[in-house]
Amino acid sequence: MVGNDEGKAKLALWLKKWKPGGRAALLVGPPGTGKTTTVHLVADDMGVQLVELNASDARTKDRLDKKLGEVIYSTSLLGKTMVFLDEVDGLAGRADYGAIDFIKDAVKKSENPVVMAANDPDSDQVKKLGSSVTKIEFRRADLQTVRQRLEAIARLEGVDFGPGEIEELARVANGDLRSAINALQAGIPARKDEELTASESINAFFDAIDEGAALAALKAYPGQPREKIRDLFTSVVRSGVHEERKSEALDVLSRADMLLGRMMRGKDWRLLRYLDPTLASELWRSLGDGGPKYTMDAVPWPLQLRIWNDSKRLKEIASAAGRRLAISQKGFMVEDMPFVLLLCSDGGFRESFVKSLNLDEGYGAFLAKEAARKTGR
Amino acid sequence: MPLEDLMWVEKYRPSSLEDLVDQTAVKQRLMALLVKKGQLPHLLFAGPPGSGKTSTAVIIAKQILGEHWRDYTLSLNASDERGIDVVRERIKTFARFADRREGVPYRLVILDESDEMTSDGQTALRRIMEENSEHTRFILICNYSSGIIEPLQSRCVIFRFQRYDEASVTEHLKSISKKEKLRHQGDSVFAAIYEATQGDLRQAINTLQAASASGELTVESVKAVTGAAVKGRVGAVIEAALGGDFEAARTRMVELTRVYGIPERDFLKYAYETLGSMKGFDRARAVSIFAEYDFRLVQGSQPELQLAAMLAQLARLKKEG
Repeated sequence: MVGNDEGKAKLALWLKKWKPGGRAALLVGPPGTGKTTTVHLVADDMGVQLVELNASDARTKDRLDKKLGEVIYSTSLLGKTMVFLDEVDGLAGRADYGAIDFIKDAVKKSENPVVMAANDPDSDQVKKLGSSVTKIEFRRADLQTVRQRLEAIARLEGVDFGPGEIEELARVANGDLRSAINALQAGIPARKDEELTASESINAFFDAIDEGAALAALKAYPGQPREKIRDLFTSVVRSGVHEERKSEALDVLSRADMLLGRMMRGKDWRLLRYLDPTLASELWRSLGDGGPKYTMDAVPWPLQLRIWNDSKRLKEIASAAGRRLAISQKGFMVEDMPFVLLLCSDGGFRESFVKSLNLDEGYGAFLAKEAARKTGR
Repeated sequence: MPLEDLMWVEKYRPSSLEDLVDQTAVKQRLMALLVKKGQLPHLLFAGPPGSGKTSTAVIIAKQILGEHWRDYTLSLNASDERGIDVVRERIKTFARFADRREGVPYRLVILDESDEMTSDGQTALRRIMEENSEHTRFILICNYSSGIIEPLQSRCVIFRFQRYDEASVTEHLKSISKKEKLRHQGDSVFAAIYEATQGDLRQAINTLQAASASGELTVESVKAVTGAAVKGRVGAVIEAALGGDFEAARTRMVELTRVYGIPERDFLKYAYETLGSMKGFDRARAVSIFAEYDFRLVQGSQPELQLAAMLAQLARLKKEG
């Protein structure tokens, strides 16, 4: 083991001292810092059997219950058992509904030690676990350590790398030892794709001379896939591209977004590899020459301002009125607001309405403006 | 003037089950249930919009919780765009913090549009109901009980509300007109309101009030109001799209969804409803575009993108002639 010896020692100590009712251990640190390896090593060293689940298993409460119930609530005849839940910060949203609460509860009642690992110390899941766990931090390995380790492996494997190349590998890996070793094994310098800014990447995509260049531009996009699709969408929709081409391009984007939606719901990230190639071939081709330019806003500026300001005020009004009338904010917004805005062109109604909801005078002026819009006066 | 008098839908909202228009079967069964307040089960109200579901829920709240009913009633929309977790948090907080008074047997959560939730969301809701069952009763409101998962249905007593027919709506509107001393053109006005609102009594009363605001209630004033209501405005977007003006359609769609807070799924629902009254396009193609994008809207992650793409497809119908 390289680096993080401290983490290993802490985990071993925790396991030695652990008694039923004690806290679970939570290893927190960036990818490739040896969390999973450490758990396996400690388990081996101490002759403990591991029962392991990671983010590739769907971990709803029911499934956790089924898989882990037995191990957690009973003592094993075959010696000591430790439960290992890897990537708990991957537990998210609806698919893993109730999982964190279930885990907290299980930790309290467990007859066997539970150890967990997570990447992000600020994730909701880690926060939710709170004081039910003992945290053990794992840090990125420093440049020196990674370089030495890579050199040792290169020697062992008899691969020839120039010192400059190993240095570069170590630097690019940024403390992620696992990715550095993978890159070393692949025999290619692990150059992370060069990142561009959002506008550079999107413009390079539209200006690409062939599909290959379009793909490279997309890969260099700095943000999340969702933002990438959004940026492509706003740029296409605001462009002067011919209507027919535009509707084709929007169809491609709509399908890409559907793919993304499925991925997000199922946490099926391996589908991500199809996203950029699909966009590069279909979207790039549908647009043809003289494509759009990067545009951030989907709508003209005055409407954008209304989205920011007016929508908030309308929601506040709907929320106040809805509370008063025992209907939901959305219900008032859809069913009643249009009529109220019409009625607000009458000063008397407007004044009484604002007063009856205890809103300040600014809302009166706002409603007058909205009413004028509605009635087209 | 309090809000309850300012808006006619509230002013003329029934204050007891006897006052509720029609819905005889619902009334009888509910009255029987309300004899033993403490033993009230969870309720599920199914029926078309504006058929008295929310009004009935409020009547029950008043009857059981008394004059402070507002403090012990939480009205939420189950399809809240921010997700079931927000709904759960609000119910939790509500169940935890509102202390009870003497004579208040439990708190009441009125959950609108329960059938618009995904089945995952409904499963979560089932847990929420269980977690809070001790001091909280739920009234779930939906359009179709078939959209509610079996385990939720089995936890509730189901009441089916019927769509109001033209005679009932007209009679009710006429009685309001009399009390408000409206000048109107006669039956043609009420026929026009019914035509536009299709048995939705809440919309009908709102239309009546807005259309008579200028003094005289006429078929024209009714039409002007109908065009400004959500369905009318969504219809205008679809008309623009079918007319080939994609950009105008799209910006109006964004205004409706992002400024006026019409959820994208409601937009699509209303849009499809208005399609029936429009002419001069390939209807079969349009319907299949709607079906496709309804699916994509649910599957995708960016509803605004999906609706824009749909409008672009509709606009193309025109070009293809």
